[in-house]
Amino acid sequence: MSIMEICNIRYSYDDKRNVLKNVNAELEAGKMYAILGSSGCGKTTLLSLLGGLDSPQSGQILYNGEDIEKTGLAAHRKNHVAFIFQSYNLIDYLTPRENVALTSKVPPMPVLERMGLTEEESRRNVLKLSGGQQQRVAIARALASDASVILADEPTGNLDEDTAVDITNILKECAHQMGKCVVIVTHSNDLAKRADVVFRLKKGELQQI
Amino acid sequence: MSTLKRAFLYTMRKKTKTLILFLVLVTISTFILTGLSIYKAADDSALSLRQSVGGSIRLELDENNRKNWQYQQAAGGMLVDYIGAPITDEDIQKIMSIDGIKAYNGLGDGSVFAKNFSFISGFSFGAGSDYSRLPSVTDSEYFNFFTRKAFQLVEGRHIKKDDDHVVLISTAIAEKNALKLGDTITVQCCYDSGNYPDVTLTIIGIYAYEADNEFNTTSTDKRNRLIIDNKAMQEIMQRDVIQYDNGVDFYVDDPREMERIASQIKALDLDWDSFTLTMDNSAYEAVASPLTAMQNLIVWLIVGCVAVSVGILILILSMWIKQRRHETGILLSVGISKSRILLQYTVEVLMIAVVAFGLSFFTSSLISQGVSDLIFHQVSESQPLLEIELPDDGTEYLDITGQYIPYDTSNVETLESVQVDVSPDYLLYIYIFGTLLIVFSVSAASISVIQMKPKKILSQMS
Ligand SMILES: Nc1ncnc2c1ncn2[C@@H]1O[C@H](COP(=O)(O)OP(=O)(O)OP(=O)(O)O)[C@@H](O)[C@H]1O
Ligand SMILES: [Mg+2]
Repeated sequence: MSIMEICNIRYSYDDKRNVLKNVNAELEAGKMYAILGSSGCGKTTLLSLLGGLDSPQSGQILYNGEDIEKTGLAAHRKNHVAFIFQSYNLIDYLTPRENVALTSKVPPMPVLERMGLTEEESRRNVLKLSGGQQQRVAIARALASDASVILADEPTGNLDEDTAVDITNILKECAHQMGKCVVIVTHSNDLAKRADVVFRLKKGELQQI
Repeated sequence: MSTLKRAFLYTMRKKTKTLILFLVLVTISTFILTGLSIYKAADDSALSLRQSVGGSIRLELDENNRKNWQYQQAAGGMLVDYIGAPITDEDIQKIMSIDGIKAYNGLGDGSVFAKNFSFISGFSFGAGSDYSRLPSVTDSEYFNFFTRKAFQLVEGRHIKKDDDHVVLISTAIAEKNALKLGDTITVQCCYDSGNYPDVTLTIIGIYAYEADNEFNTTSTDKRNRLIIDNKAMQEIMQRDVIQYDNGVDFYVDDPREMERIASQIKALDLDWDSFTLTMDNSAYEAVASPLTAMQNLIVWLIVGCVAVSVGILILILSMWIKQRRHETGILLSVGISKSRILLQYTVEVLMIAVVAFGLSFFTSSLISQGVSDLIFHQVSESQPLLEIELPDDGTEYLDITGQYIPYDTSNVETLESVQVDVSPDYLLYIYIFGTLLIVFSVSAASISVIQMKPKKILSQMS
């Protein structure tokens, strides 16, 4: 049973050129998906539609069989999905613990420890952490939320290879052990191989490889 | 994490911003609080000043209506008799029932010889005994000589409504005749037609008057003014009823209300064929102009302060909130609603404001008296006080002999400064008004960011 479904969506920024046209996909809980594609092909756009940051011109996006447009985009963002960005996107005046606690009620420390942060690190200002550590905090924040879908836009783009592998493994664990539906956008074929399902976005259409 | 906690952490951790905003808010609210306090102080002083200088409305017999007056040739000149409707005590009671009138003075007029004492002699045009014209009053405290500070009561008391056969004399007469309080003097009407009795009056008060160097006859010399009650005048002039030849003055509590009171009097059912009504608030206008000017100045200062503060506040806040576009995007992407984010930004400023406004109470208390003195000094320097000109008509400025009563400005209390107190009440206004101001400013500053779609904020982020 798929948790999210993309039905025939078309999207364009300016009504002249379609960034996405006729995109269809089904996403299941407990799996990690990778989306590959050249720069500017519309990966971020697709992810933002999945996350309810914008609506497609036509077609539907379903969550548990219901059109997110109908149940409300803000509610969808709040309850169903969590974003992880290339640029980490942490709140700079909060500590890692507070960033994790931003939207969740679960104690932040166990999640952060699982991401490999020490007690001391999790009390520092987030800007005083390394890039890899910051991205772990962002992942911890996504995990601590109730979201069952995690949307990661080039989460390892700013990180070295070893750390990138680490982070990808963590995300995969999230899918497999915690039953989350994880969608990663990436440029790296190597990382994409670690996913359960790999899509390629090309000329506005999504193909499973 | 609650919105309040985020707001709190933001203000605690962005110390420089918090400090700048704090200083801006302290300055703004100190200015406004000081302005309000000075305005209120000036307003209070203006009221008490108005009440102390007073103002009067005079109801008098209409001299222009010829059919009310009878002229007949008599020995020694023309005798003028009033044959229209007199002003009665009933008329007076009707007027006194109007709100805002504190007292009245019915004014009689007569001329007498001094029988067992002598006047200060003035220039005499011919032979004959010295005589003087004299006024009768209901309430001498409000008599124009006293209200214009030309006369100062130095001994005894004023004439009141129920007094019977009493007199106020000048220090000059008292000295010349060795008279003191409680002594009696005898006078007799000096008209040559009719039989007039000697009337004995008891001295209940002595007034001082700086003798002027004008050319005077005995009658025009103001030191010879015997001020008596209306019952004594009735006997002296041998009249059936008390007559208020020179009209009745009504004294208002607050000169600012004269227009209202005058129009209410006009609306009364009185014989308006025979009476006229005139107003006098020149004394108030003369002393109150610096206060009015100060109040106007302060209103403009407050308005200016508010305008500039709102401008600065919106400027700073919109600059800062634009810088927080990234943060706004993150908060939106984790599902925090726009209204919550707006609330957070508002609460951050409000938390600082609560402390800043509180502090402004003390800073304002420190500076407001000084600022007030400064403004007051400026204003009164640019507006010389108390230049009263003799109006074309207006018997209120005139002695019964038709001479101008000087306004003795040296005896008038003028306002050198006002006492300013910063009351906690105004602080309440500041809190209410400040909160509205902040909500408005934050909303105005956030519009550009909050109106954007989350996608757009996020795509502009990287
Ligand atoms: N806000 C926008 N307004 C107009 N056009 C946009 C906007 N955002 C993106 N685009 C255009 O839409 C297309 C898809 O952009 P998108 O960001 O989805 O690409 P991408 O696959 O994520 O690229 P990259 O790998 O470089 O991140 C691009 O041609 C881009 O120029
Ligand atoms: Mg992209």
